[in-house]
Amino acid sequence: MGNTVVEVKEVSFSYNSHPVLKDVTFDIERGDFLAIIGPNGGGKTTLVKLILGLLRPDCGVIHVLGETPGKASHHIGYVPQSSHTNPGFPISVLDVTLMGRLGISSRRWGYTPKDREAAKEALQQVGMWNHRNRRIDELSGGERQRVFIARALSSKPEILFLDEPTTGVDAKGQSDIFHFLHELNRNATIAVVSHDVNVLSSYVKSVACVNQKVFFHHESEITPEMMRTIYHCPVELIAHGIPHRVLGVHEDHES
Amino acid sequence: MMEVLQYEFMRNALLAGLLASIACGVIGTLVVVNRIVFLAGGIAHAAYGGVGLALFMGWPLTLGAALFSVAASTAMGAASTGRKHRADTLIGVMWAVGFAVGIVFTDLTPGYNVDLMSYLFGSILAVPSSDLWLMCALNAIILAVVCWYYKELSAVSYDEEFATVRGVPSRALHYLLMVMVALCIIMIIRLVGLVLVIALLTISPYMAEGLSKSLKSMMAWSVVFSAGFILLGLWLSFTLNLTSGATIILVAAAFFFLNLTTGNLIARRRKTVGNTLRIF
Repeated sequence: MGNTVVEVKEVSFSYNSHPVLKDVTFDIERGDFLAIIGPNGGGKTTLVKLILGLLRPDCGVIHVLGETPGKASHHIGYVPQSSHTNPGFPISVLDVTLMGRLGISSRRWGYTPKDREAAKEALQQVGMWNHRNRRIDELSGGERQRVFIARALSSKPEILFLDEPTTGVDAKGQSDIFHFLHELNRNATIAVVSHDVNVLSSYVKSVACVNQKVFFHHESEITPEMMRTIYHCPVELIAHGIPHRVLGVHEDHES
Repeated sequence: MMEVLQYEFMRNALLAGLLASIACGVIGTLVVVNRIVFLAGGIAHAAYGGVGLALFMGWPLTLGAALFSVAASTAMGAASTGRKHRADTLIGVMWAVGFAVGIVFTDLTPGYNVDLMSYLFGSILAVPSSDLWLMCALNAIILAVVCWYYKELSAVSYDEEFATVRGVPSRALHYLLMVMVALCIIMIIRLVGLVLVIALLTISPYMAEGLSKSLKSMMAWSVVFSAGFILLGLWLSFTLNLTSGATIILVAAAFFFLNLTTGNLIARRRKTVGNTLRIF
């Protein structure tokens, strides 16, 4: 197994006979900071759900830390798209964070001091401990996203998956989140899904472009060529924190 | 007020009301947060099919209703997980079919059945002591199951995807919830009738939601509200000589609209204050 934490081999998946992913093969190395980018509907979220074991591939094999996705889920932290949560649900910040201890906690009713300690640590890490008794729906988008990250961290994961973590978060909040993920990357492998190419910054170590197929690049450089393959038109690029404006003429207009 | 407690039927009615509020508050909370009010209505009406069937076969009515609604709830649970976009249509069909089956079986049963009315509109004043024991047992089952799976139920209701990744069997819990809703409905049908079941399952939890910071406190507040509505409704129906089920619902509805309007007023005032602050 060595340094590979996620192994995806010849995986295909379709929703109601509509192909989403076709013959996808790539590995994620330990300590990587992977950006999963691509157009909306290109299969980014589907790819993550396959790795998490929420969906089963039509064919192909996925191994996470050498095990099948469902069995390895205890080692994975997951930050889903915030729109998936139930609005108006009465739950406090601390209780949301403790949810990350499900499947780990040894207690049926309530949580052990160890669980509470882990939740406290995670909330302190994201700077939300002082808000622990507030209702989650009273928070701003950025604050809520930090709590969801804390919830994923409370299980002390080896791999952290984040699906569009910067949706509904202002520019300052976005850079805070990425700076924080950069810190976390010292101890954990991180994969971030985004439809926003601008999100790529100096923190990212490799890039997976997803549009039915997956193009894996072991560097954070994004070339216009890569963009053309997945988006079929030139896109504005920002890489390495330095803006490279690559605004080409849209091919459709030319022909 | 106190002298009415001399009558056994009144004591039984009060006890039945309190027992039903426990189930209504706990299960109603899960119904409201999971947005399955329509499904609960479907189960309640399908239960009528069971009543008709039991009447025709000569079984105890509660047993018939229980079996039928547990079966209906499982079918609806399957419909709402399998084909999500068609779930409301399928539930609507089962709702209507269950009800129609009940009516046809009643037609086929010789003689006039007064007791059937008690399932349509409730008859809290005619609850026999044996039913109280049944309600106690159902309450104990519901409470035990909810306590045992509390963390998982809360997690699945808030964020099903995350809960599944953490190893929570969300589909099994969904079916479990369906069966508990069915059991709870069987209990309330005796009180307010299946026509008015929905109100009792939704009004108290809705009012409780705004006051609570956790699912368990929402459940506790719902129980308190339900008990209040039932006791006040019973007292009004006794003094004004009105149908008890309908009176209970109207009492609850009055508080619901009061809560809605005052809630809106407070929200609007907060908004105005917020805007004013933003201007300066």
